[in-house]
Amino acid sequence: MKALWLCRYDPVSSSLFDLAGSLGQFELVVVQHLFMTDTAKYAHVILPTTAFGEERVSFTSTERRIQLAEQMVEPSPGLTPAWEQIVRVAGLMGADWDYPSAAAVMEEIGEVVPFYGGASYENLSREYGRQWPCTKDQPLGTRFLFSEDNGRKPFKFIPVPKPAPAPASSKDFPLTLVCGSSLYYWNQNVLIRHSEALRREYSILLIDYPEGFVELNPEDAKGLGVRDGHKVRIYAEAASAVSTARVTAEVRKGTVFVPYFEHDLERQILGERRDGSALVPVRVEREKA
Amino acid sequence: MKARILDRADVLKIVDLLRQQGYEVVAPFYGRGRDTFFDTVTDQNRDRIQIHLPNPYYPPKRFVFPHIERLMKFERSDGQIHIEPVYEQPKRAIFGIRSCDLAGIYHLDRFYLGREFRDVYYENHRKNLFLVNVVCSDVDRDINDECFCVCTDTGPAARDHFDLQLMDLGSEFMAVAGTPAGEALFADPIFRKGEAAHIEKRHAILDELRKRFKTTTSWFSATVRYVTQGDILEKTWEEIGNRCLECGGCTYVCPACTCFTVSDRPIGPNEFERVRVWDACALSGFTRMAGGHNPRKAVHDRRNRRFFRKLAHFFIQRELAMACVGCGRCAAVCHGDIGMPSVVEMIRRATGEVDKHERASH
Amino acid sequence: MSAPATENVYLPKTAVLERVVSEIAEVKTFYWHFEDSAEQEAFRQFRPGQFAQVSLFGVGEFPTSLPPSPTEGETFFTVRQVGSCTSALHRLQPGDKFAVRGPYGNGFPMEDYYGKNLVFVAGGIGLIPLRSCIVYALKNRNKYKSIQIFHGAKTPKELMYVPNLHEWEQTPGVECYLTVDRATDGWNGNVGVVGSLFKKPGVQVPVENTTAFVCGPPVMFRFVIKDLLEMGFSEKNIVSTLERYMKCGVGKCGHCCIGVAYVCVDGPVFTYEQIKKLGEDI
Ligand code: SF4
Ligand code: SF4
Ligand code: FES
Repeated sequence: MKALWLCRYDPVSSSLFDLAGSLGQFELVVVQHLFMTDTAKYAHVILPTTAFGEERVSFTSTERRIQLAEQMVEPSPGLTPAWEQIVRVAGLMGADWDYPSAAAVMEEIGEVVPFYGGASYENLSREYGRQWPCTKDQPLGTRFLFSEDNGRKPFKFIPVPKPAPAPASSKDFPLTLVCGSSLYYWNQNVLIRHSEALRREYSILLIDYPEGFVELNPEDAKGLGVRDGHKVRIYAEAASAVSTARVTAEVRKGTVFVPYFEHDLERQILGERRDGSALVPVRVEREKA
Repeated sequence: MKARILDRADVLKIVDLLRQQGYEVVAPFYGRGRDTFFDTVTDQNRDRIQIHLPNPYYPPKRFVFPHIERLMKFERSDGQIHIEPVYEQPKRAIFGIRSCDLAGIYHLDRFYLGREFRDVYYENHRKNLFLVNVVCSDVDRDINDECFCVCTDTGPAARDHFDLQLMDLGSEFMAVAGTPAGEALFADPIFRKGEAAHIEKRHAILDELRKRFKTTTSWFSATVRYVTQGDILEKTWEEIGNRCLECGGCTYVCPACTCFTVSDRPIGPNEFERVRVWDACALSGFTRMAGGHNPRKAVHDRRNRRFFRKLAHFFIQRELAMACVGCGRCAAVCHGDIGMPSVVEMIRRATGEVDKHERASH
Repeated sequence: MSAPATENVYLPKTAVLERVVSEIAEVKTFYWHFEDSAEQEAFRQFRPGQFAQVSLFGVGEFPTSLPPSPTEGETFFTVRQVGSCTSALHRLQPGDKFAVRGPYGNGFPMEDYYGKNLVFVAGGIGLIPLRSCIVYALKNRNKYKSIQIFHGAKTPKELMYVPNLHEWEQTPGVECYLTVDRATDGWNGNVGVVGSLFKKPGVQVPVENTTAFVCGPPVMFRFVIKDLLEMGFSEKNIVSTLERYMKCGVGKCGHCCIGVAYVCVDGPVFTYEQIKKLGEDI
């Protein structure tokens, strides 16, 4: 691989590992983004793109909802939509892509992806978009993916006798470490960093815990003799790491919560596992200064 | 107040009249689904203006108190600092503002232009503002599930604070002038004198309307008293606070919230601008001091704050207006279902306990 | 665009830094004046206990109390380095420009205390706002009865305004008592919290016809209030200044609001009676 093209993606600021180093191995890194992100700093070419509301374009959410965003304001001079930049570069490279608009791109998507067959901009511009499958026969989309109405078997819910045992129930590792998003740190945090109030909230967390933190439930903390702001060491089976305790009822008893921005800690504990979604059995001890 | 009658077909001519007088007119439009929004009227969109529609979640407050507003510029050159205020003084009309939002603007007037200091930025937006109120008379489209202006006594038909008020009587509209500027419009031939029957019809419609609200917070005044006297148990505030996810949404949609933060940001190598941005008391950074001390660290203390500021009698008296105008937006956006109506309800339910507590302490 | 008739209360005016004096670790005093002499004259009419908003180019604005007395003729701030704005101020050199607006807040009603005994109790940098009242009272010495100053710090190195303290110790008709939590550097004065000074032999705090000024960190504040109340002070004869996160200083941004009071306009000076009624943590 010689070149990498990143479209509104900022892996450097969110990765657990040294992506900046990996980016250095490419002969060409192109970043399309709204902002000067950490990733963009390593790019050879930065293509500034239009923002939401500055172009007519569609999005698909995790809820399968394909939505159309209308252009409401003029973009700053010189900015073009991301799709147009790709088309132009393709043109320079000899391809004959002839899309007059994002709607035309969507039309082609509809031809190749049957689930999107009915998702024309015209159709999407009504209601709050359509949920796929949105086919020519079912242009209103599909509200429930699994339901008797559409022939796909709905899920059956069965009661569980008692809660499944948490991974951490051994005596040595009585707590479960969970990694996740934090209220003021979302995805790659690009937008939060550009939002006055949210950025303040995020930076306050870091002022209170300058070296980062893990969250402990007050009851667990009490049992461990740990108070808010104390240094703690987290032991997993194969590794350990030090952090500061943030004691808060926001986390459940029995869990240790690590916000995603704690890259070092995640790296140390998760090691090669590299999977932030894993639940890791751990033990926490107060770290003597 | 003077009233006139006009034909249904002529209603949008009021927009034209205002535009001819040099006003930038903003009016409500349909977006998709339930979405509605205020936008500047142009020749292209003029015919799509809606008279009856769900009130936009993004309140028209932003036309007097913008979400982000430039206050001044700082420029540095040769060791000197030049400070230049940035003023915007639009001549603007809001067509179709709902009665609740009108009460919201009145509250903002009292707040920003009252007391020790006048806010010049607010004043600039406000002084050439022309307000055309539309009475919410379409039960299906105007009145949302969450509306409770009947309880805050701000709607569905405003009694004052508008320049012109329009009420749908069917094939005709009644126009009421609230100011000389509003009355001056009556010179146009689209307006004619009304008859007693028109007034009767207005009353009949309003009588019927008041019965059609889905959310009623019958405990509103009692809540004002309980909040004012500090009689609400910590436990109840905690219950309310536990349901707050600290998103700030309730504040950002509220037509009567006034708080802002101030921030300096670079606009050039030697130039900074100072902007003010809406802020929310739900956020912990709202009160946290530079040294780290946060007097309102617990979430429930901050939720408590919102309702105290809105309902405490002291503030109602100071602003001669309540900082809740019954628009129901916070109820519509809150993930934790602790919008104003629900909080009033939670307080009502807890009152049994409060009373017990009161008796015990006497 | 024509300038509006209403005064823009958010607009700061350029000020010049004259000189900087180190007080204690991380705390410095900044002497400054407005570029415009008319501004300077108008500003100098401030009252003890008021505060100002200071703008640092490209960083932001922060509130700070006014330690000088209006009788002194000089304008200065004493600021601890805690956040980005205060750090930016600490980085300035004499001759550098910044911007100031104010004075804001109610200030201490010094005239109301005429004919009374004054007791000043300051913990650490709590002496910053009280310095103004003390200097003012000394300048108008014959208007007041007895004057006592109690000042405590963690260590002798952290005592504030040491030259002033020496001066006050020497001033006839003024009693000045100092204490530290930890005796270091050959300290041979009192060791203990500020309240411990009240009970020292020879110290006689007048309770009748007295106003007590209390400023300091929250813990110190609570203990001193407790002591004073036990000594028989009434809540309305204890006054203090409250500190809050502030953005506007003029009662509009809402950040400083506590209970029914906007600290920036209704305060920062409150009697303890009022503080209690605000009903929130301070
Ligand atoms: S909308 Fe609801 S969850 Fe969000 S800040 Fe307001 S009260 Fe909290
Ligand atoms: S508190 Fe809620 S219901 Fe009341 S005015 Fe604000 S948004 Fe509307
Ligand atoms: S500091 Fe803005 S309201 Fe007090």
